[in-house]
Amino acid sequence: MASSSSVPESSMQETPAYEIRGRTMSLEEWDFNVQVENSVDFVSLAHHGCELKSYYEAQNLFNYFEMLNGPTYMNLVRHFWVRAQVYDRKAA
Amino acid sequence: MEIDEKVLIDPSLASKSREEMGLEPFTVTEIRSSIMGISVFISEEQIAWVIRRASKGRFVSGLDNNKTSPWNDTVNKTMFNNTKKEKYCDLSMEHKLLLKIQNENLLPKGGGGDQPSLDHRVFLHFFMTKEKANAPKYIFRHMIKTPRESQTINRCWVPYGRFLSEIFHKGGILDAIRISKVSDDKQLGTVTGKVINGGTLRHMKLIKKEDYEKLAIDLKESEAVSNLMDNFPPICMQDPLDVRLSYILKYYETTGETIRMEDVPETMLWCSSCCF
Repeated sequence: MASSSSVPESSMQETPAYEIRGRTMSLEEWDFNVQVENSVDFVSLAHHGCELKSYYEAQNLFNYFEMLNGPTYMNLVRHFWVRAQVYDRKAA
Repeated sequence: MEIDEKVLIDPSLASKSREEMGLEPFTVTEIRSSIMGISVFISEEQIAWVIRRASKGRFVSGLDNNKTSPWNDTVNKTMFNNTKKEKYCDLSMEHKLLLKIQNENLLPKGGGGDQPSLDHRVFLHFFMTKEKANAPKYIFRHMIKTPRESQTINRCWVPYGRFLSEIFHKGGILDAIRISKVSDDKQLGTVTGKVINGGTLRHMKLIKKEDYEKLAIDLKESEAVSNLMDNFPPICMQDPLDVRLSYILKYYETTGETIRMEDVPETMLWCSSCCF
């Protein structure tokens, strides 16, 4: 369609060390509802007759559950999210 | 898409490879974003690294609730010990909890969880049978679905709040923010999640009310909010409003920092640093 003569040379830019990404969605940061995972108290569950520890040990996921008991930075997550882009084969 | 853009700018590149176009080679699928100018890329490998577990095990997807899939029988046998699909209430207590934990923590749904898809039921089947599933892959695949939903159908829901925070933390983002002192906990909007414990069993009516007891060793919600503030004053929401206000005012006068009402704990017991 377009002939190469009418297209200006693309200027190659150096990739900056830091980058400021634009938003990838029309929603605003404060619109978002962040779901925070629940930590799991395996001791209390086992005490009430619900032994689950072995299931997650078998999956080697204990680190994950230990990690869940910690702070969530809502605003950082929202900030990250409105700029998030899925970079897969289609986007590449 | 990147290729298309390049070709649009310079059609002579049409038959060239990515490298010749000056693009980096495509290696893995990632979620790309940035926080305050710092690039944050999340891939399956990174998830595996953060939870310190290799990205190995079985992964089944794309079953699309196919009624003819042989997985239906396998899954029903594990869940209900029957070849027919039964109702949620027929699950055993442990299986109900496994499902709840999956819906809250591993593959958050942000809605009712009684009707999991076949893909999710297969994942549950791996847990119930203790066959190793590729959890990092499941988590990553689940995670990349949602930005697309936010972009296309304006879904205002973000899963994995805590997990993403941990990824930022492990990736050094929080250190960078702390050192630069551009933000504190209030600006970061720090919160902590609930705990699934014996009380949850009572709420789900899986044990009788009188059978539930609170244990001294019960897991407490993380105290990160007050831990990051030194000398948090000994107040809680049960104190009268004027008491809370005068403490907050005094705290502000001495330290120059403000305390939001949301940061004041519900009860004294919640915050171990102020109960003697």
